Amino acid sequence: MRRIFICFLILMSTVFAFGQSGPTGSISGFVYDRDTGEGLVSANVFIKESYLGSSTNVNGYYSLPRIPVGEYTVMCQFIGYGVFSKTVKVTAKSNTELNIHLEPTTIETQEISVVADSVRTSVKLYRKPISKISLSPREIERAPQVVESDLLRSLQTMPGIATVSDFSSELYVRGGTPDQNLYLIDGTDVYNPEHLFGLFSTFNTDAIKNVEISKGGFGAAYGGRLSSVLDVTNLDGNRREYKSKTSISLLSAKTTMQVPIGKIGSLSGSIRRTYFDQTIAKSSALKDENIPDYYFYDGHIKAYFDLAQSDKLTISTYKGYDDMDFKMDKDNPDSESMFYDWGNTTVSVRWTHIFSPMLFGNFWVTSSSFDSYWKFTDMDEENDMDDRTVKGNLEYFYSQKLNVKAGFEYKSLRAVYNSKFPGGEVQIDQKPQHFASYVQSEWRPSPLLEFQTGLRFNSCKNRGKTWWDLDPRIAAKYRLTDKMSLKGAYGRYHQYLFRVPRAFIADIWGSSDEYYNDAKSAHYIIGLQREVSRNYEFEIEGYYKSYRNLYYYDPFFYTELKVKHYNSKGEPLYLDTENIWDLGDAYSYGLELLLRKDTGAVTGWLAYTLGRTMYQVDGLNQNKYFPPRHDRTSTFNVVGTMDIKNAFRKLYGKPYVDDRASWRIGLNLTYASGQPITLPASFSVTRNAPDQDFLHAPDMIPAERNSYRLPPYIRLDLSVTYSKKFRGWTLEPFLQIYNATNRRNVWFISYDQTFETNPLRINQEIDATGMLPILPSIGVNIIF
Amino acid sequence: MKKALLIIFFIVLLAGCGKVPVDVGNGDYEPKIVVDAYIIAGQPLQDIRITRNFPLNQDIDLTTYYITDADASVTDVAAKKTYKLVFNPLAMSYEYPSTDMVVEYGKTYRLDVDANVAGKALSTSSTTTVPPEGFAIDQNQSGPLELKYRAKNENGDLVQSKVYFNLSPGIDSYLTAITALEASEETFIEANAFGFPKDMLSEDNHLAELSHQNMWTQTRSDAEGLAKMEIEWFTIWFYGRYRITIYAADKNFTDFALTHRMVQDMDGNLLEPKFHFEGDGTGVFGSAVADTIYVTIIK
Repeated sequence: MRRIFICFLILMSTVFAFGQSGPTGSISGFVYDRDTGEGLVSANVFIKESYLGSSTNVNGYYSLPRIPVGEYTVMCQFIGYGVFSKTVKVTAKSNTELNIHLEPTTIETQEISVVADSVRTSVKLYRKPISKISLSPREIERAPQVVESDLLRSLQTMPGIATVSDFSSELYVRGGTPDQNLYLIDGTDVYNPEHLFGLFSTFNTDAIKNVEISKGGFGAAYGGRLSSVLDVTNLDGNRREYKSKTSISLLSAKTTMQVPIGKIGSLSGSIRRTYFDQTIAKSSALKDENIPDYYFYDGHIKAYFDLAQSDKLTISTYKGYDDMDFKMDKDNPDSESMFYDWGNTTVSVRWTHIFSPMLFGNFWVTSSSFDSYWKFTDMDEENDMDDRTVKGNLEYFYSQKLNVKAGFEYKSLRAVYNSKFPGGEVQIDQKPQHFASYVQSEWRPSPLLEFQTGLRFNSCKNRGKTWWDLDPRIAAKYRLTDKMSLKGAYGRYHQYLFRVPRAFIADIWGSSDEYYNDAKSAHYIIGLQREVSRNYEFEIEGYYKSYRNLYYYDPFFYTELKVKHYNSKGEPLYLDTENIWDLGDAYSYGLELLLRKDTGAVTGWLAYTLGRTMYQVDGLNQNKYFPPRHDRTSTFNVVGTMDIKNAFRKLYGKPYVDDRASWRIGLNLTYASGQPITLPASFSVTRNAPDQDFLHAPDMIPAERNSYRLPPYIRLDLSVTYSKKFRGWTLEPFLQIYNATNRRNVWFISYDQTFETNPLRINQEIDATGMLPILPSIGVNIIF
Repeated sequence: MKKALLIIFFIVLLAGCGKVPVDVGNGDYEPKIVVDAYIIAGQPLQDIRITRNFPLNQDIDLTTYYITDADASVTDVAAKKTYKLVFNPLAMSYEYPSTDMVVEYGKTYRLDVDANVAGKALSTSSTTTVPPEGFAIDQNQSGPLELKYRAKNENGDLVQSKVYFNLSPGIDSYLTAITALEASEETFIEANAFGFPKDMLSEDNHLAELSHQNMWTQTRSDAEGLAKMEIEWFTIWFYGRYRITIYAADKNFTDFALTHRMVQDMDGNLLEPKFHFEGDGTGVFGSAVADTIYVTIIK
């Protein structure tokens, strides 16, 4: 009944919103970077005489429809760019095409150039959807990280986003697990976006144009995941001139190039490769060490074609590949070796068509594959995930008070897991098909109030079973005062794809099937945003998430395996997923605070999260609720960068100077309260088999699941960058120190027992296994 | 406000230096009866070890570890006949001393134990059903019974010793215990294919651990009615004679063998092993049908 009521509410809000009339015209066009010709995503375009306006979509397109006839000042503002302002005459029943070319400025100058006609921080905050965070490539690049900048690690410093260890770049968003995040590169899903067993993410930060993460309450345009959406847009390419950036760090060398294709488009490409297999591993100091032969590379090519004012075509491809070979004894010709390689490949073609100034469409054909292969002795494993997608969406800018989006998505998926091991074989081949369609309206009944309502229909078909689900989504914004706005959101979400988490080897993707139904979640979010001192953004959000039918991997699943098939050798052949998962329910709730400053000589953010996540899984922990390993009660982050000279100038009231040579320092301080972990309640000594005639190390008998908290996690990262501008190019050597205080944060507890024979005793030693120590690194960026 | 933030910042910074101590105390210790008991079809009730658990973070005197005064019995559930167990101080285990009882194929037995641990009266029970008759190693088909370490055939492929056996009806879980009978530092295979150095044998009980390896399969028989277990080379670490014992195992035995030593996951957290006890017990009361063959690995 409640579901029917919500659906009714959504439909009625759409219907009521269409009741507008009068002599009007419209203004539409694209917003571009003046220097590169790149379309700018999420730039604010609005009419000065009113609060009403719009943000550019993923193509940089905006439309201001049904404006009463008259003369208006159209303004456009985007962080990192100068303010655009132009008087436009709107005539009846006509469209004024206004392509806006914003002039890039240094971020530092923006703070002092804030004048009366620029967009207020409060307006930017109001336009932003609830729980959405945008990061610019500059912010990602400047935050000190492990050896080099990393998108996912930068996101881990945001409120509500956690990680489990230094060795993982995975995101745990508001209590959700990494497989509940939808990762998109140029509209294409990416599975297992990790290099080096998760230490680095697959996103090359130099190739990124725009990053947005929605931590919850996202609209009906997105689905298929329970927790979050990370939408990464790569550079289209510079349409004016050749541009390049090359970076060299201790980890890798990478280069990004952008080049115009005549007057019709542009091309961008990037490539990154690690080289410690060619340098450090072959150094004389390590020649006697048995170091695995390992490298990874990734790269992308993206071509953008401006076929006509109404037709744009984007072709984008990405490939990442990790390769590891390890010979157990390099001096022994008979030695066994381990081979492991894995990677992602994506291809997408997007056609953008402007049917009319008020009707805008995007259509994609995408392909995404994750493949991995592992072999050791006579064991091997093939782990593949393929995704072929056709999708499209239409945006109808009906009026300044209403726009409507509708779209569809069809996915043909294939999840293959083949494994051979002594005494058995696994061959799981799933071919789920997903279909989704949605409608979403944005209704602004007044400049102070906005509703986003949507309905998403999802279906999944796999192994003879079909699921049909309807997900209502509602979000509302209300401008409380000139500086403050209140937001809220509710949404239901369904997920049909899950991954088996594994440490130091790629996770395995699987689908809801004949044994396991889909998982579902509901988000309830409320938030308050306030402009503080003009340039500071302050946000506070509270959330509650509930989960049903949560998939929880059972590492001891093999004890319940039922053999239904045998291979030609008479060994068991497992063809399905029965007993792999335990199912359960969960909830998470929390409070997030973010104080952020994006402009000026000092930029950065302070983030605090107070949260709790609890699982209840059938058959685990005596069916009692327990906190999962990624639960953190409190997390506090300080991320900042400072242009030293200009910071001092500001301190002494002097004007900003765009120096040809400058020093910049960066800081990232993280405090997180201790992770939950299970302790042994006690130990015992038993035998593996009746004929075992010795005592082996004692067995651990676990206490209540995750009832102990490790010490708090504290880490300070620092960076220093010197930037020197020459004629036409810039040199930026940098020093980064990860974990500058060398705190040995505890990863887990190790238990060591030794036997003494006279008298017969067991001595216990308990020690902490630490995470990454201090890691200084140097590198250089060359931009030309 | 700025001052407060700076103070917080520096406190956090000071706390963020160097090694982090972990104080786990004694955990949530609760005394338990630990049972280490396997009953084998055709054999008397013997070698039933009843011990106690001990707390985290304490050195343990193993002379106080065995419970010698437990009230323990095994009951033939169908026949409702109970066999009282007595402690044998030489074997440090419980047994049924009379000769009028051997464990029978296909029968269900329940173990009951009452004991006092750490001043607390505890009670536990567990039930096992012995696999049915039928399992036996085919000594003639199995082999080679003597082979060189990582011997290769004419194609250059590794040759493995294969053990053929008849299955127990309805049992699909077979555990193999591979014991190097002559394990020592002298017989250790230094040119092993896995790069394990000889000098580590003396550390952490490695010699004993490597001398006793286990495998598990859910195999079925081929056209000739025989199932097969290949002895993998990663279970072989010493030259000399090996005892290969295969157990057609019940659920208790299987679950215990497959979980109790793998409690610590890759991320360091602990998993719940699968024990089958009611009350205050832990460990294993399993049953099996067993057979043995011997293989020799030569240089």
